[in-house]
Amino acid sequence: MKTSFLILAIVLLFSSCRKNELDKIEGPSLKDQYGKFQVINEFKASKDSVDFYNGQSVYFEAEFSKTVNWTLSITGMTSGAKKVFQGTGKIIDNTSTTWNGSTTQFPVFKTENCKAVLKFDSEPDTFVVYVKALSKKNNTGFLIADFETPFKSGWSSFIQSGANMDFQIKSDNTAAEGNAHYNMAGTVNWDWLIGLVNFKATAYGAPVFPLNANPGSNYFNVLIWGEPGLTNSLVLFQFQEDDNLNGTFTSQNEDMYSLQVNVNWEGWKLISVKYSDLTCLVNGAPATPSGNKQLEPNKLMQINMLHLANPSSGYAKTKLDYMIITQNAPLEP
Amino acid sequence: MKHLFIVLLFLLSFILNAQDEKRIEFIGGARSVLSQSSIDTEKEDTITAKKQAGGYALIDLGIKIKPSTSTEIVGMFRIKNDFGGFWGSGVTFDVRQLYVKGIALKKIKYQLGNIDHKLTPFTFFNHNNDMLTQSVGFNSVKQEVINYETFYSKNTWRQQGAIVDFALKFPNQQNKVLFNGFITHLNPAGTVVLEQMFGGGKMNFVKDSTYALGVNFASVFDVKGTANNTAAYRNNVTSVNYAYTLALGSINLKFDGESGASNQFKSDKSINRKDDYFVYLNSTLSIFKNKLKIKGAYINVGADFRSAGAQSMRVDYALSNSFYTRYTNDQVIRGVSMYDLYNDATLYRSGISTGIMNYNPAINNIQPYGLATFNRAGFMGAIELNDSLKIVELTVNYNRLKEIRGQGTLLKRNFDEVKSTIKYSLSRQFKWKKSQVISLSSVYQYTNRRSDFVYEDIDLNSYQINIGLENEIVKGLSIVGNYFIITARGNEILPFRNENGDVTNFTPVDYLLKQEFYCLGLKYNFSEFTHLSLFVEQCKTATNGYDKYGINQALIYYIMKF
Repeated sequence: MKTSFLILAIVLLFSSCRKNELDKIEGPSLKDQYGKFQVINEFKASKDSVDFYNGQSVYFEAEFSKTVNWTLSITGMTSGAKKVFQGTGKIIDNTSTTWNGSTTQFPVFKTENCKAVLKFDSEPDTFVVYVKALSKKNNTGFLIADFETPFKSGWSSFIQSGANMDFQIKSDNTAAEGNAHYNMAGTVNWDWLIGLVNFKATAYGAPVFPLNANPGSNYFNVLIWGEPGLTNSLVLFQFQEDDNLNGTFTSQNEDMYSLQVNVNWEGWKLISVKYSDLTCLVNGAPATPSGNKQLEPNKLMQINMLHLANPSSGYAKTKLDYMIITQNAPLEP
Repeated sequence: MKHLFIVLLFLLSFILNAQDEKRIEFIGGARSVLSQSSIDTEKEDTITAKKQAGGYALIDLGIKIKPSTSTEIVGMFRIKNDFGGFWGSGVTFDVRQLYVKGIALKKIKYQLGNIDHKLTPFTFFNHNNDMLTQSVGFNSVKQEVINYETFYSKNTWRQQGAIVDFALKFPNQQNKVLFNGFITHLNPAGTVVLEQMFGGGKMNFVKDSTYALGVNFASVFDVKGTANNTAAYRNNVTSVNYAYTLALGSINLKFDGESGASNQFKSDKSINRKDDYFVYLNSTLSIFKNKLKIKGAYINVGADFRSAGAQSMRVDYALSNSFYTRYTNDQVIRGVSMYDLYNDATLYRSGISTGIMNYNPAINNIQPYGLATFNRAGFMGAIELNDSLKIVELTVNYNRLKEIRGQGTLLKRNFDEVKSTIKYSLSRQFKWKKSQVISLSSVYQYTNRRSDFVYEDIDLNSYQINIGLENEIVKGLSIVGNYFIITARGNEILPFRNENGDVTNFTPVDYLLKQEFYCLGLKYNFSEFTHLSLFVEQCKTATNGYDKYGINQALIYYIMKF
């Protein structure tokens, strides 16, 4: 018994000789958090100019002596478009700052010089580099309207005869994409409808839009403007499916799905919705579709865009730009 | 429904009483507390009610039923009446404890229901980490009340579950093997929260008083399939405890200790897994017929050692005081202080926690989770002195510890702690009939980490002094007084941990704390189990980050146990 205790004591004595943990620390480094801020590798862009249209991208690099919360803002010097990256760390590299020409704050970038500014939450230092965008980003998908060209002959519209009616394509520096957008404004005090535009598939040379049959892989995207000081606009999109593929839509026995957007923000905003998330609405309330009750984007024959407002709310105004259907993911403008 | 239950319990007790008087026993206690308090603040306060009067009366009435010689059933309910309740609105009824225990097959002890249980200091143990000083007087009365309310008894945790105990004795030898097993319920299942259980046991081999060897196991585990969640938590701790006593005439030399390992993970064992071990070796030299004991111990508890059953803290610093919760015109929350730890039982937990709980470095920065505190290594020494007449009882501890793994840096904190308690009985010294006892208990803690970089420097020292006096003036009636002071100065860098216990951030904190409270009053002992205390007390607190305040109280305690 004494021997076993002796053996046990020796084993325990050896086991107590823990190797000192000289190279391990618990938690993040205090030096990273509270140490002196120094630039180890200068802030720079991976290239001076970048051709976004042909799939090129640019990234930014820098390394610091401590962990910092950083914000990288890229601003189009002509358009005023802005792309923002944010992060926390000691290193800025391609994993955190790869820019493919996309936009965080509208309008979208044009072919222009861009200024990239790096700032920190806890440090006063600011670093700047310049990059030239040789072309704007090319978005893949079926473009329904960017309003850069005149009203298509296949589109149709109806505009109420209210006061201060202004439904037209406008070319000015307020467009979200390109140089033009569709303006919709006016006062109609007897009806919710102010005006509408019907985008027919036949305007693009086919009885239905060229979309695949999977409603989960098609995304409807549109840029909508919220007029400062006005929150009464509703934009209603109706998606009419030709269930029996006879070339005409019959509301009594074919499906129509809707997307109603309450425009209660200021400035441009991207609205993206998966086709499978569309619902059937009657006067804004969910309802049962009249047709085969199947979401079938490959049978979509017409998209109606209605600008609505409560008749008692007075003047309503919104704008529309860059309506596109993308595949597998929402639009990254 | 509660009233019906109580009536039925009474009826049942009377029926059984009529059958056999010895089978029924009433147990429990009663307490009444009456208080009048006021708060003074240095900053203007026109919002807080400056004076409060309150109190309550409660009775814990338990019925111990013995349907047979080998079975015992205890049911205890509590009736509490908060003073000021109108038409019974302040009256509450609760079931305080309920258990069945007995002996099966004349060999196996069992208990079902509420159980108070512990294993070893590293596996399952209720360490008292925040009350580092001891005292006689009203502070001990308050501690007694808190321990009763929270079921803290001899370092056990109150659990709901079952225990079994049995022993194997070898024929014609003094050797025996003791077995214990338990299973308790920690958390009920929710939609995504899995049912959580706590189980384990021990096997102790004992040979007379010379050798003892035990194997212990404790495990907190989620029960898979009880909720819509596949990440089941596991925390297993296995240890070996040992003791060997060598008698050399009038000198006794004892070696004892515990060593073991832990692991913690969720279902996928490779994710957030923590494995580590600990060693605690202690030696005690007893001389002069045990009047003098000299202890020396080595402790090494790994940074990733996790033991939910032994690292759960009594005090939950995430809670707020229930007494003058807010003060000043800004109605800021009054921080939890030592004064509150003596007065507010709602700050204490009654169950174990699987997360790493926050602690207050000003109160205990050396071993905030008791002996089971992880990331500590070093030596612990103690001297205990007492005479055969118990005139003087003296204990001095010195602990010199160091971190094993640096926090946020490769540098490690160093810890020094000196604790001493002296209890002196004048009545025994001068053979007076009336009890005259004075006690002085103190603790000094010092934490430092020196660095070339200011942001890594830590320098924090704190001390607590607790003085108590019981001076019997006539038979049973004593003048009782207490004085307590805690100060803390310096800085610490507090770790912020995620739910897995990993440090994710740090917060530098400066300490400049001084709190003192003293009380004086009378205590009358009706019997060993019943006493009445009347006292007044004053508390003054000044700490950086909070506005200064003072609290005055007049209290009456009546405590009875039966």
